[in-house]
Amino acid sequence: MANVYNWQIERQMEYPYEGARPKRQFAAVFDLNKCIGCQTCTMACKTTWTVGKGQEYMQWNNVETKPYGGYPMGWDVRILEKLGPQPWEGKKYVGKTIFEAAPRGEKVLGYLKEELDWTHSNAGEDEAAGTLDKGAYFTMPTHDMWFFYLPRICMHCTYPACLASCPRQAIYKREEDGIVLVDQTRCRGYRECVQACPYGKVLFNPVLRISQKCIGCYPAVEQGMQPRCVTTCIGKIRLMGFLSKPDEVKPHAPMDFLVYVKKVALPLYPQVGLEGNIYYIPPVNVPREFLRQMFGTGVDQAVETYLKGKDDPELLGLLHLFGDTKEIVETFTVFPEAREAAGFDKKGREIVRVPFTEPDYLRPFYDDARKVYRHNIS
Amino acid sequence: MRTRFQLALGIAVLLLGTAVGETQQLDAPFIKGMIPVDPLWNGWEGVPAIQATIKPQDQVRPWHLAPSIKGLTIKAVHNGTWIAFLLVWKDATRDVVMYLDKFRDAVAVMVPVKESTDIAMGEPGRPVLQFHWKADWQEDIDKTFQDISQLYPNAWEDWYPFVPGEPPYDITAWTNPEAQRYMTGWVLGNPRSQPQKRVSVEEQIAEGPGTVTTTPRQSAVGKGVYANGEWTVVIARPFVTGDPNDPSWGPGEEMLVAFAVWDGGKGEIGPRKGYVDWVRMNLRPGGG
Repeated sequence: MANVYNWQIERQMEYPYEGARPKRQFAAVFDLNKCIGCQTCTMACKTTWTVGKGQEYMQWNNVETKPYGGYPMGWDVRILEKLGPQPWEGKKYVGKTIFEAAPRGEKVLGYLKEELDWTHSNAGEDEAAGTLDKGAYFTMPTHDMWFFYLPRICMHCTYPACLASCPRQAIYKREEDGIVLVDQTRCRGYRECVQACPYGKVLFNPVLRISQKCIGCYPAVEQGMQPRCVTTCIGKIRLMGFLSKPDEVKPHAPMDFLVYVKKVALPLYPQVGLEGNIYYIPPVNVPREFLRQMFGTGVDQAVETYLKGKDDPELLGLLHLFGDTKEIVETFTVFPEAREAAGFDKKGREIVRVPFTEPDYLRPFYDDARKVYRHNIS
Repeated sequence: MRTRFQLALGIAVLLLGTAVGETQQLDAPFIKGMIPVDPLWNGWEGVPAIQATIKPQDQVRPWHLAPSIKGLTIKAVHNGTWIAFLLVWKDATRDVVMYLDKFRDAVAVMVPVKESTDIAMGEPGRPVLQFHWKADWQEDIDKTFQDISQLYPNAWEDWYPFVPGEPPYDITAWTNPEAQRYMTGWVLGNPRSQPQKRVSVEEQIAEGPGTVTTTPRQSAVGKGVYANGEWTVVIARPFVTGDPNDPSWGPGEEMLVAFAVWDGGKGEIGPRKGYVDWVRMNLRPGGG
């Protein structure tokens, strides 16, 4: 076991391989306050990558309803239960990661998901689990009943458990962008990775008899384009980019700004120890205890920062760049006077510019040219 | 002082005993005619057998400390140009397909390419050859490719892009290269993913844990049958194939050979296996 630094838990931890951060790290921020669970991302991913034989059940991108939903079923509660207590001291996690908690003779603490675990991809999750016979069913502005949608893809972790567990090094992390891939020629279908990934994001193809996973749309990323699940999101909740190493923060890189500078986007279950690279802006309507378990100790600050976002032109501007371009935004600039935000590509070329407030256009109710009435005049 | 000496002597004898006592002798007699690839060939009855103990794989993580299979009956014959192994073991379940959470049964023979080497699949510069029989490949050959229709008879998929015809769109319909691009392992040549399997044995070379590689030339053949709670498997291969990594073996030679066995129904696959430590095999003279 080597010792590597995991910034999300602010300490060194055990990992089977020496730490080697890639030159660039694929990352994304998902704003959970805006996700409506429409599954457009799921369908975009599905139709692009998993329409082959043996992939019928596969969702490399899925959206589940929290707190009860999960694909694979109960992936989070099951690994948290196995992990036992997960104490933090301030910003430092002092419990065990899944590498440190591995049973004797194993590399990672995990479990093999059963076939039925894969059969409930958000089916029935939105239905009430009980009758509402005890009074208030909605007392705005804060309500007792809460839920939120959790969209998920592979975290393209800095310290992937799938990679750590593979007995034959068939999984690799690309130096150029940090995307984690299963080598489809080397894989022998042992499913150690399926057991090891705490997020349940490596899946077995029973026809090809090898394992498969989200590939971060690397053919798009190589062309400077964002992944399919990001660009098709109709709620514009996602932005993909590259996250710098924690000691080389670039404040004008969107990922760095949201994750390191504003700390408004948080890792998912950082206590498992993988340093995943999909970050979430936590939903403000959800009890903090639940959020702290899910996103770590930065929750309170993240929620406060987000709620004050309307008075923070830089944050507000960057949030407006979510879902407004297919290209990867390498850097961004905000023009507070003009109330506009602009994104730039690798060469510094402006690729997108959006106003903070969309201009209003009012059209007459009756269209003289077409001789029809309009349903919508704004 | 005397006690200490006696203790040391005792340990030395114990170690010597372990090293020598556990190396079993496997006699591989010469037979005339075709090498038997049929597990039910009646000539097997007269061939001397050894009953080998299965050891837990505890050298490479993940360990497998309690193998499901307890013993392996081993026989071997040769006809001067081919060698065949007969491997028989008790297994309560016939596991022949790969579901999401289930594995298939398997057995393998391992021989050093040249000099003796590490039991944990060889070591750098001292490779081993392995002949790995897989119950799912046998099922693909004996019945048909274990497609979705076979794995999940009630599954329904109304459409796969670029695949003509009607459901269930079995693999034979996947002729369009555009459709095949979704079948990564198949189009990239991963032997596991091939719909057209010709043999149930994969020939592999390895230089240590995690290095198992399918050899470019596949010369081993085999067949397995399951009856009465027992697998009976034959694995056969020519001594000489022209491959630079052919072992130095043949009639009149003495060499080491090891075995591994997997009970798929009990979660055994890859390193999660039981194995038979090096056995000394005498290839009786004849036919050379």
